[in-house]
Amino acid sequence: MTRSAVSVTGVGLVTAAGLGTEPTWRAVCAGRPTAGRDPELAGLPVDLSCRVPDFDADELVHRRSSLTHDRFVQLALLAAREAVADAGVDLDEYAGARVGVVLGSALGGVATWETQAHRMAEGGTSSVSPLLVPRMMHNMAAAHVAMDLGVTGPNLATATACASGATAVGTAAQLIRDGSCDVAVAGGTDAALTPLVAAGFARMGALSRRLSDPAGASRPFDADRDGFVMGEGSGVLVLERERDARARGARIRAGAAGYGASADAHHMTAPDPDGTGVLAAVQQALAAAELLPDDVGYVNAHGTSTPLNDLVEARTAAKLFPRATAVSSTKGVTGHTLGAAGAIEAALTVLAVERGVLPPTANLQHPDPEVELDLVAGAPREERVAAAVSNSFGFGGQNAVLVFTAA
Amino acid sequence: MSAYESISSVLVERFKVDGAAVTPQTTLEELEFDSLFIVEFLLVLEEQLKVSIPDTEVTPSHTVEAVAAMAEEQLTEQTGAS
Repeated sequence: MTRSAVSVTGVGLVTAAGLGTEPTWRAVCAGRPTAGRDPELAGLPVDLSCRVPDFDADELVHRRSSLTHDRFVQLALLAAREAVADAGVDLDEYAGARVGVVLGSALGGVATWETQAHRMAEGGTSSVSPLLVPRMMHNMAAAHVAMDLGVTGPNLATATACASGATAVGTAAQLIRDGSCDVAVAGGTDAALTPLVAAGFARMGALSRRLSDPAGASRPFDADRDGFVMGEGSGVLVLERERDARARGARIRAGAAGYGASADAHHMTAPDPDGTGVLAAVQQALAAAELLPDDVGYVNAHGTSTPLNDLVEARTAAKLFPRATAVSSTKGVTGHTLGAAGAIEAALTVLAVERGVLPPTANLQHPDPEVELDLVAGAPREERVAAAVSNSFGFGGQNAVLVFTAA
Repeated sequence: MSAYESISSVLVERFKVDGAAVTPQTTLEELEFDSLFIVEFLLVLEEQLKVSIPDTEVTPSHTVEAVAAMAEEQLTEQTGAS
């Protein structure tokens, strides 16, 4: 059986840089950080975040959105609608069951959970909303996107922590290859900028404490990095078989050429210092794409800006890729959007391949001397690459790697 | 403000119902309320009107007027008791 090629034909993004792909791409290319002190986190030891600009959900998403949707669902609906419109695909031309939805999230409806827990503590069980469970369940982003688009194909949520969005895109490509669907709407979403979550990450020591310089707080691969900045957002791609996309005259943004997944089986939160699991995932993704490390011109790193992640990721990448491979992390701009990150960065990697522009790493002023990579910093680099890799790693040691190729 | 007026404003503000679509005879079903929405609706009435209507007593076929009557009855009892 020949392996059918899968293409990316649509992209949708919602990040702290704005609602839409272009505002996000512009901010990322300009290396313009979105981090700031967050009034909703006031009083916490760390109050930095990259928050999506305010929008009226009842106006923009659905008449009763603020009642029925947690914010992680709202962000996913906006990104999914943009991606489908961008793909120019008329879903009515497909039997609904031939269109699948796969959306990952790290923390799902944790904001709803937190609000309702407070209500119960204050007012007892009778004050708990009946909409608590349907708002907070992890699978509701994929479920609501299916309802919104009227598509009834395979529908699932992935949960590999901060790799969830990448796992979703990889899984969706596999659903198309194995014939389970013809079109897949795939990505990730998270909106977990709550006091409880911020307190939890702060207690782990995972967050940057650069409170006096919020814009400089997320600085992947920089010698002065001290943790990540929590972000929120959603990234969604539309995937379809390349031959179908060509037949309908679609604009092919990039090939979704390979996916690799692995577990470190090492520690709850710390990466395996040897990078064995990450290497395995990258090699698996390249093998699926029938590419060699030398073919890869750009790596969009996981690059969270924590001391440990960036060092281990850099060492692992240096083992595999030639010195000439350009590497950057876009989290300097977007912050760490948790379960959305893998999908947002997949989308940015697709744009980098399509446009021949490799985005820089914001705030990379003094590269960590232990990092031996060709890091893109300062300005975007104009360079056509044949293939690019997007890395995503989750707490729990779950790794997901995607390979995209020029159309 | 009467119970009916208070309930109408809850429907418009919290449940995003078109104000022009609310009449005393409008049923909850016509406002696209399912059982979850009814429970949420009664929860909001409890907060805002201080009336406690059991969710077993309200179905989608109830009219706005019927719910308002239940609320009015409780409000009258509360006034009478105090």
